[in-house]
Amino acid sequence: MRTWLIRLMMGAAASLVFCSVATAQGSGTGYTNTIYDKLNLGPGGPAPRHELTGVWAGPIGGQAGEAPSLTELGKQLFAAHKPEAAYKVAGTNDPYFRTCDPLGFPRNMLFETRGVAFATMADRIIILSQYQRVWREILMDGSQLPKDAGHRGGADSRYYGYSVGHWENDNTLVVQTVGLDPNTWLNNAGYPHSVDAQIEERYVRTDHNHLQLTITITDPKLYTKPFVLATNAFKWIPDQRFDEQLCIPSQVLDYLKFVADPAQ
Amino acid sequence: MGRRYMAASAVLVAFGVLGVCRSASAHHGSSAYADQVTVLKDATVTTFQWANPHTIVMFDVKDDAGRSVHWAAEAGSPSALSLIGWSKSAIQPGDTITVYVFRAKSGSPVGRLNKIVMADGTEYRDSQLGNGPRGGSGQGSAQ
Repeated sequence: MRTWLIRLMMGAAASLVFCSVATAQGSGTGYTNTIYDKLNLGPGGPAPRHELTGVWAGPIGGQAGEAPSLTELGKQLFAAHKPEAAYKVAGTNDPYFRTCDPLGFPRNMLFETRGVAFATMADRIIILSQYQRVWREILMDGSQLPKDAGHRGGADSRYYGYSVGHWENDNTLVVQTVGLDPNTWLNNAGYPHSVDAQIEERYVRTDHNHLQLTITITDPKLYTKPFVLATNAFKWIPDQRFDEQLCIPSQVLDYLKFVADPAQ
Repeated sequence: MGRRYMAASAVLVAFGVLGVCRSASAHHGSSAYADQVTVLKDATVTTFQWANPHTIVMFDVKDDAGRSVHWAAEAGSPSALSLIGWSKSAIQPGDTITVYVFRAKSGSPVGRLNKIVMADGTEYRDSQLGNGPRGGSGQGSAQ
Protein backbone atom coordinates (compact mmCIF):
# COMPACT_ATOMS: atom_id res chain seq x y z
CA MET A 1 0.00 0.00 0.00
CA ARG A 2 2.67 2.44 1.05
CA THR A 3 4.82 1.59 -1.98
CA TRP A 4 1.82 2.13 -4.22
CA LEU A 5 1.20 5.53 -2.67
CA ILE A 6 4.82 6.58 -3.05
CA ARG A 7 4.82 5.51 -6.69
CA LEU A 8 1.63 7.44 -7.36
CA MET A 9 3.01 10.56 -5.71
CA MET A 10 6.30 10.26 -7.62
CA GLY A 11 4.44 9.77 -10.86
CA ALA A 12 2.32 12.82 -10.18
CA ALA A 13 5.40 14.91 -9.42
CA ALA A 14 7.12 13.70 -12.58
CA SER A 15 4.01 14.55 -14.58
CA LEU A 16 4.03 18.06 -13.17
CA VAL A 17 7.64 18.60 -14.18
CA PHE A 18 7.00 17.13 -17.60
CA CYS A 19 3.93 19.22 -18.36
CA SER A 20 5.63 22.36 -17.08
CA VAL A 21 8.63 21.80 -19.29
CA ALA A 22 6.63 20.79 -22.31
CA THR A 23 4.30 23.74 -21.99
CA ALA A 24 7.03 26.23 -21.31
CA GLN A 25 8.87 25.23 -24.42
CA GLY A 26 5.86 25.56 -26.62
CA SER A 27 5.17 21.97 -27.50
CA GLY A 28 1.55 20.96 -27.52
CA THR A 29 0.27 24.39 -26.64
CA GLY A 30 -1.82 24.89 -29.72
CA TYR A 31 0.53 27.34 -31.36
CA THR A 32 0.04 26.60 -35.02
CA ASN A 33 0.20 29.98 -36.66
CA THR A 34 3.87 30.11 -37.48
CA ILE A 35 5.67 30.00 -40.79
CA TYR A 36 7.31 26.81 -39.57
CA ASP A 37 3.92 25.14 -39.22
CA LYS A 38 2.83 26.23 -42.66
CA LEU A 39 5.98 25.28 -44.59
CA ASN A 40 5.67 21.86 -46.17
CA LEU A 41 8.99 21.44 -47.87
CA GLY A 42 10.66 18.48 -49.45
CA PRO A 43 14.37 17.96 -48.96
CA GLY A 44 15.26 20.48 -51.69
CA GLY A 45 18.41 18.58 -52.58
CA PRO A 46 21.43 17.55 -50.56
CA ALA A 47 22.83 19.72 -47.81
CA PRO A 48 25.70 21.85 -49.11
CA ARG A 49 29.05 21.22 -47.41
CA HIS A 50 29.92 23.43 -44.41
CA GLU A 51 27.07 25.80 -45.14
CA LEU A 52 24.17 27.04 -43.05
CA THR A 53 24.01 30.56 -44.52
CA GLY A 54 20.44 31.70 -44.99
CA VAL A 55 17.18 32.42 -43.21
CA TRP A 56 15.41 29.62 -41.40
CA ALA A 57 12.07 29.26 -39.65
CA GLY A 58 11.72 27.44 -36.37
CA PRO A 59 8.62 26.78 -34.31
CA ILE A 60 7.69 29.07 -31.45
CA GLY A 61 9.48 26.66 -29.14
CA GLY A 62 11.68 23.60 -29.19
CA GLN A 63 11.02 20.18 -27.74
CA ALA A 64 12.00 19.53 -24.13
CA GLY A 65 14.82 17.07 -23.63
CA GLU A 66 15.47 14.79 -20.70
CA ALA A 67 14.56 15.73 -17.13
CA PRO A 68 17.80 16.98 -15.57
CA SER A 69 19.20 15.77 -12.28
CA LEU A 70 19.80 18.83 -10.11
CA THR A 71 22.33 19.25 -7.32
CA GLU A 72 21.10 20.65 -4.01
CA LEU A 73 22.09 24.16 -5.10
CA GLY A 74 20.40 23.58 -8.44
CA LYS A 75 17.21 22.51 -6.69
CA GLN A 76 17.22 25.65 -4.56
CA LEU A 77 17.66 27.95 -7.56
CA PHE A 78 15.09 26.09 -9.63
CA ALA A 79 12.55 26.25 -6.81
CA ALA A 80 12.98 30.03 -6.61
CA HIS A 81 11.98 30.46 -10.25
CA LYS A 82 8.28 30.90 -10.94
CA PRO A 83 7.72 30.13 -14.62
CA GLU A 84 4.92 31.78 -16.51
CA ALA A 85 3.35 28.45 -17.46
CA ALA A 86 2.54 27.72 -13.82
CA TYR A 87 2.25 31.20 -12.31
CA LYS A 88 0.81 33.15 -15.25
CA VAL A 89 2.11 36.49 -16.37
CA ALA A 90 0.80 38.19 -13.24
CA GLY A 91 2.59 35.84 -10.84
CA THR A 92 5.77 34.86 -12.61
CA ASN A 93 9.19 36.21 -11.64
CA ASP A 94 10.49 35.50 -15.11
CA PRO A 95 12.15 38.80 -16.07
CA TYR A 96 11.40 38.17 -19.71
CA PHE A 97 7.64 38.01 -19.25
CA ARG A 98 7.46 40.95 -16.86
CA THR A 99 9.79 43.43 -18.54
CA CYS A 100 11.04 41.96 -21.82
CA ASP A 101 14.51 41.33 -20.39
CA PRO A 102 16.75 39.59 -22.91
CA LEU A 103 16.09 35.87 -23.19
CA GLY A 104 19.81 35.16 -23.24
CA PHE A 105 21.39 32.02 -24.64
CA PRO A 106 20.42 29.16 -24.93
CA ARG A 107 16.83 30.20 -24.24
CA ASN A 108 16.73 32.35 -27.38
CA MET A 109 17.35 29.22 -29.48
CA LEU A 110 14.45 27.42 -27.81
CA PHE A 111 11.73 30.04 -27.57
CA GLU A 112 10.44 32.49 -30.17
CA THR A 113 12.53 30.86 -32.88
CA ARG A 114 10.23 31.86 -35.71
CA GLY A 115 13.13 33.39 -37.59
CA VAL A 116 16.82 32.49 -37.31
CA ALA A 117 19.57 33.27 -39.82
CA PHE A 118 23.17 32.21 -40.26
CA ALA A 119 25.67 34.54 -41.92
CA THR A 120 29.15 33.28 -42.76
CA MET A 121 32.14 35.62 -42.50
CA ALA A 122 35.81 34.85 -43.05
CA ASP A 123 36.55 33.89 -39.47
CA ARG A 124 33.14 33.49 -37.84
CA ILE A 125 29.52 32.55 -38.25
CA ILE A 126 26.91 35.02 -37.06
CA ILE A 127 23.62 33.63 -35.77
CA LEU A 128 20.84 36.19 -36.01
CA SER A 129 17.56 35.87 -34.16
CA GLN A 130 14.55 37.64 -35.56
CA TYR A 131 13.10 37.98 -32.08
CA GLN A 132 14.56 41.14 -30.55
CA ARG A 133 17.02 41.31 -33.48
CA VAL A 134 19.75 39.65 -31.47
CA TRP A 135 22.97 38.23 -32.90
CA ARG A 136 25.72 35.95 -31.65
CA GLU A 137 29.24 35.47 -32.94
CA ILE A 138 30.62 31.96 -33.36
CA LEU A 139 34.39 32.20 -33.85
CA MET A 140 35.55 29.61 -36.38
CA ASP A 141 39.25 30.56 -36.57
CA GLY A 142 40.53 28.24 -33.87
CA SER A 143 40.12 30.81 -31.09
CA GLN A 144 39.98 29.49 -27.54
CA LEU A 145 37.11 30.16 -25.19
CA PRO A 146 37.91 32.61 -22.39
CA LYS A 147 38.88 31.03 -19.10
CA ASP A 148 37.24 32.09 -15.84
CA ALA A 149 34.61 34.21 -17.58
CA GLY A 150 32.37 35.78 -15.00
CA HIS A 151 34.95 35.45 -12.24
CA ARG A 152 37.20 38.15 -10.80
CA GLY A 153 39.99 38.80 -13.28
CA GLY A 154 38.20 36.92 -16.06
CA ALA A 155 36.12 38.12 -18.98
CA ASP A 156 32.72 39.61 -18.12
CA SER A 157 29.77 37.25 -18.24
CA ARG A 158 27.29 37.98 -21.00
CA TYR A 159 23.67 37.24 -21.77
CA TYR A 160 24.79 35.52 -24.97
CA GLY A 161 28.18 34.30 -23.78
CA TYR A 162 31.33 33.57 -25.78
CA SER A 163 31.18 30.97 -28.54
CA VAL A 164 33.56 29.01 -30.73
CA GLY A 165 32.64 26.44 -33.34
CA HIS A 166 33.96 23.82 -35.75
CA TRP A 167 32.62 21.53 -38.45
CA GLU A 168 32.53 17.98 -37.18
CA ASN A 169 31.76 16.66 -40.65
CA ASP A 170 30.35 18.05 -43.89
CA ASN A 171 26.98 18.96 -42.39
CA THR A 172 27.40 19.14 -38.61
CA LEU A 173 28.37 22.37 -36.90
CA VAL A 174 29.29 22.09 -33.22
CA VAL A 175 29.35 25.24 -31.10
CA GLN A 176 30.65 25.57 -27.54
CA THR A 177 29.56 28.52 -25.39
CA VAL A 178 30.70 29.70 -21.94
CA GLY A 179 30.56 32.87 -19.85
CA LEU A 180 26.78 33.11 -19.57
CA ASP A 181 25.26 35.63 -17.19
CA PRO A 182 23.64 33.54 -14.43
CA ASN A 183 20.63 35.88 -14.24
CA THR A 184 19.19 34.24 -17.33
CA TRP A 185 17.14 31.04 -17.35
CA LEU A 186 18.03 28.08 -19.54
CA ASN A 187 14.45 27.80 -20.75
CA ASN A 188 10.91 28.90 -20.02
CA ALA A 189 10.55 26.20 -17.35
CA GLY A 190 13.02 28.15 -15.24
CA TYR A 191 15.98 25.80 -15.15
CA PRO A 192 18.93 27.79 -13.81
CA HIS A 193 22.57 27.80 -14.83
CA SER A 194 25.76 28.94 -13.18
CA VAL A 195 28.34 31.25 -14.69
CA ASP A 196 30.47 28.15 -15.27
CA ALA A 197 27.90 26.41 -17.48
CA GLN A 198 29.15 25.01 -20.77
CA ILE A 199 26.61 24.77 -23.56
CA GLU A 200 26.99 22.67 -26.68
CA GLU A 201 24.91 23.30 -29.78
CA ARG A 202 24.95 20.63 -32.42
CA TYR A 203 23.45 21.69 -35.77
CA VAL A 204 22.89 18.89 -38.27
CA ARG A 205 21.74 19.95 -41.72
CA THR A 206 20.04 16.83 -42.94
CA ASP A 207 19.27 18.18 -46.43
CA HIS A 208 19.01 21.57 -48.10
CA ASN A 209 15.76 22.52 -46.37
CA HIS A 210 16.05 21.02 -42.89
CA LEU A 211 18.24 21.72 -39.90
CA GLN A 212 18.20 19.97 -36.52
CA LEU A 213 19.56 21.45 -33.29
CA THR A 214 20.43 19.63 -30.06
CA ILE A 215 21.47 21.61 -26.97
CA THR A 216 23.44 19.89 -24.21
CA ILE A 217 24.20 21.44 -20.82
CA THR A 218 27.24 20.72 -18.66
CA ASP A 219 27.08 22.57 -15.36
CA PRO A 220 28.38 20.50 -12.42
CA LYS A 221 27.49 23.14 -9.83
CA LEU A 222 23.79 22.81 -10.58
CA TYR A 223 23.38 19.47 -12.40
CA THR A 224 24.81 16.10 -11.45
CA LYS A 225 25.57 15.15 -15.06
CA PRO A 226 25.37 16.62 -18.56
CA PHE A 227 21.92 16.50 -20.11
CA VAL A 228 20.10 17.33 -23.33
CA LEU A 229 18.10 20.42 -22.50
CA ALA A 230 16.11 20.45 -25.71
CA THR A 231 16.04 19.94 -29.43
CA ASN A 232 14.75 22.26 -32.08
CA ALA A 233 14.15 22.08 -35.80
CA PHE A 234 14.35 24.64 -38.56
CA LYS A 235 13.07 24.81 -42.13
CA TRP A 236 14.51 26.85 -44.97
CA ILE A 237 12.36 29.93 -45.69
CA PRO A 238 11.94 30.05 -49.49
CA ASP A 239 11.78 33.86 -49.79
CA GLN A 240 14.56 34.32 -47.20
CA ARG A 241 12.79 37.19 -45.45
CA PHE A 242 12.73 38.16 -41.79
CA ASP A 243 9.93 39.79 -39.81
CA GLU A 244 10.46 42.52 -37.25
CA GLN A 245 9.56 40.92 -33.93
CA LEU A 246 10.25 43.04 -30.90
CA CYS A 247 9.21 42.78 -27.28
CA ILE A 248 9.11 46.41 -26.19
CA PRO A 249 9.27 47.13 -22.44
CA SER A 250 6.75 50.00 -22.48
CA GLN A 251 4.29 47.84 -24.40
CA VAL A 252 4.66 44.84 -22.12
CA LEU A 253 4.14 47.13 -19.13
CA ASP A 254 0.91 48.29 -20.79
CA TYR A 255 -0.02 44.65 -21.30
CA LEU A 256 0.51 43.91 -17.61
CA LYS A 257 -1.32 47.04 -16.49
CA PHE A 258 -4.31 46.87 -18.79
CA VAL A 259 -4.76 43.14 -19.43
CA ALA A 260 -2.76 40.54 -17.54
CA ASP A 261 -2.97 41.91 -14.02
CA PRO A 262 -6.67 42.97 -14.11
CA ALA A 263 -7.54 39.55 -15.52
CA GLN A 264 -6.25 37.77 -12.42
CA MET B 1 -2.40 8.84 9.21
CA GLY B 2 -5.01 6.31 8.16
CA ARG B 3 -4.67 4.39 4.95
CA ARG B 4 -7.93 5.75 3.58
CA TYR B 5 -6.83 9.31 4.25
CA MET B 6 -3.45 8.70 2.61
CA ALA B 7 -5.04 7.11 -0.42
CA ALA B 8 -7.50 9.97 -0.78
CA SER B 9 -4.66 12.48 -0.48
CA ALA B 10 -2.63 10.72 -3.14
CA VAL B 11 -5.55 10.64 -5.55
CA LEU B 12 -6.21 14.32 -4.93
CA VAL B 13 -2.55 15.13 -5.65
CA ALA B 14 -2.69 13.14 -8.86
CA PHE B 15 -5.82 14.92 -10.05
CA GLY B 16 -4.36 18.22 -8.92
CA VAL B 17 -1.35 17.63 -11.11
CA LEU B 18 -3.55 16.82 -14.06
CA GLY B 19 -5.45 20.03 -13.43
CA VAL B 20 -2.27 22.05 -13.40
CA CYS B 21 -1.18 20.40 -16.63
CA ARG B 22 -4.48 21.21 -18.26
CA SER B 23 -4.43 24.84 -17.28
CA ALA B 24 -0.73 25.17 -18.06
CA SER B 25 -1.33 23.89 -21.54
CA ALA B 26 -3.59 26.80 -22.28
CA HIS B 27 -2.14 30.02 -23.56
CA HIS B 28 -0.82 32.81 -21.36
CA GLY B 29 -3.39 33.45 -18.72
CA SER B 30 -6.24 32.04 -20.77
CA SER B 31 -7.48 30.08 -17.75
CA ALA B 32 -8.29 33.49 -16.29
CA TYR B 33 -10.94 33.89 -18.97
CA ALA B 34 -14.43 32.51 -19.32
CA ASP B 35 -15.12 29.79 -21.87
CA GLN B 36 -18.14 31.63 -23.24
CA VAL B 37 -17.93 34.49 -25.70
CA THR B 38 -19.27 37.91 -24.82
CA VAL B 39 -20.33 40.04 -27.79
CA LEU B 40 -19.78 43.80 -27.55
CA LYS B 41 -21.40 45.81 -30.34
CA ASP B 42 -20.69 49.35 -31.51
CA ALA B 43 -17.33 49.54 -29.76
CA THR B 44 -14.97 52.36 -30.65
CA VAL B 45 -11.27 51.58 -30.88
CA THR B 46 -9.09 53.85 -28.76
CA THR B 47 -5.72 52.06 -29.06
CA PHE B 48 -4.37 49.25 -31.19
CA GLN B 49 -1.05 48.02 -29.88
CA TRP B 50 0.67 45.65 -32.35
CA ALA B 51 2.92 44.21 -29.69
CA ASN B 52 4.76 41.22 -28.27
CA PRO B 53 4.06 39.06 -26.51
CA HIS B 54 0.43 39.96 -27.17
CA THR B 55 -1.39 42.38 -29.38
CA ILE B 56 -3.84 44.57 -27.44
CA VAL B 57 -7.02 46.22 -28.66
CA MET B 58 -8.47 48.87 -26.37
CA PHE B 59 -11.92 50.21 -26.99
CA ASP B 60 -14.89 51.98 -25.42
CA VAL B 61 -18.35 50.46 -25.43
CA LYS B 62 -21.56 51.31 -23.64
CA ASP B 63 -22.86 48.94 -20.97
CA ASP B 64 -26.53 48.10 -20.39
CA ALA B 65 -26.96 51.33 -18.40
CA GLY B 66 -25.56 53.42 -21.22
CA ARG B 67 -22.29 54.19 -19.48
CA SER B 68 -19.09 54.09 -21.49
CA VAL B 69 -16.76 51.31 -20.34
CA HIS B 70 -13.11 51.14 -21.35
CA TRP B 71 -12.02 47.64 -22.35
CA ALA B 72 -8.70 45.99 -23.16
CA ALA B 73 -8.53 42.68 -25.01
CA GLU B 74 -5.49 40.66 -25.93
CA ALA B 75 -4.80 38.60 -29.01
CA GLY B 76 -1.83 36.66 -30.36
CA SER B 77 1.55 38.01 -31.31
CA PRO B 78 2.02 40.01 -34.51
CA SER B 79 3.95 37.12 -36.06
CA ALA B 80 1.00 34.79 -35.56
CA LEU B 81 -1.70 37.28 -36.47
CA SER B 82 0.01 38.53 -39.62
CA LEU B 83 -0.25 35.02 -41.05
CA ILE B 84 -4.05 35.10 -40.80
CA GLY B 85 -4.78 38.49 -42.29
CA TRP B 86 -4.00 41.03 -39.59
CA SER B 87 -1.54 43.88 -40.02
CA LYS B 88 -0.21 46.75 -37.94
CA SER B 89 -2.57 49.19 -39.68
CA ALA B 90 -5.62 46.91 -39.96
CA ILE B 91 -7.34 48.35 -36.90
CA GLN B 92 -7.09 52.02 -36.05
CA PRO B 93 -8.33 54.39 -33.35
CA GLY B 94 -11.84 55.58 -34.16
CA ASP B 95 -12.85 52.36 -35.94
CA THR B 96 -16.28 51.02 -34.99
CA ILE B 97 -16.08 47.31 -34.30
CA THR B 98 -17.98 44.38 -32.87
CA VAL B 99 -15.86 42.47 -30.38
CA TYR B 100 -16.22 38.79 -29.53
CA VAL B 101 -14.25 38.27 -26.36
CA PHE B 102 -13.65 35.69 -23.63
CA ARG B 103 -14.11 37.93 -20.65
CA ALA B 104 -11.91 37.75 -17.54
CA LYS B 105 -13.43 35.77 -14.70
CA SER B 106 -12.23 38.56 -12.40
CA GLY B 107 -15.02 40.75 -13.73
CA SER B 108 -12.65 43.43 -15.00
CA PRO B 109 -13.39 44.71 -18.49
CA VAL B 110 -10.54 42.74 -20.04
CA GLY B 111 -10.45 39.56 -22.04
CA ARG B 112 -8.97 37.38 -24.72
CA LEU B 113 -10.26 38.02 -28.21
CA ASN B 114 -12.19 35.50 -30.19
CA LYS B 115 -12.57 37.84 -33.13
CA ILE B 116 -13.22 41.40 -34.22
CA VAL B 117 -15.71 42.30 -36.91
CA MET B 118 -15.09 45.59 -38.67
CA ALA B 119 -17.88 47.89 -39.86
CA ASP B 120 -17.45 46.56 -43.43
CA GLY B 121 -17.81 42.96 -42.22
CA THR B 122 -14.11 42.09 -42.31
CA GLU B 123 -13.26 39.59 -39.57
CA TYR B 124 -10.00 39.37 -37.67
CA ARG B 125 -9.80 36.18 -35.65
CA ASP B 126 -7.37 35.52 -32.84
CA SER B 127 -4.53 33.15 -33.65
CA GLN B 128 -5.10 31.19 -30.45
CA LEU B 129 -8.81 31.30 -29.62
CA GLY B 130 -10.24 32.46 -32.94
CA ASN B 131 -12.08 29.17 -33.27
CA GLY B 132 -13.14 28.98 -29.65
CA PRO B 133 -11.49 27.78 -26.48
CA ARG B 134 -11.34 24.15 -27.53
CA GLY B 135 -11.49 24.39 -31.27
CA GLY B 136 -15.24 24.80 -31.35
CA SER B 137 -17.22 27.77 -32.54
CA GLY B 138 -16.64 29.61 -29.31
CA GLN B 139 -20.09 31.10 -29.56
CA GLY B 140 -21.88 31.25 -26.25
CA SER B 141 -24.11 33.63 -24.37
CA ALA B 142 -24.09 37.06 -25.89
CA GLN B 143 -24.75 40.34 -24.19
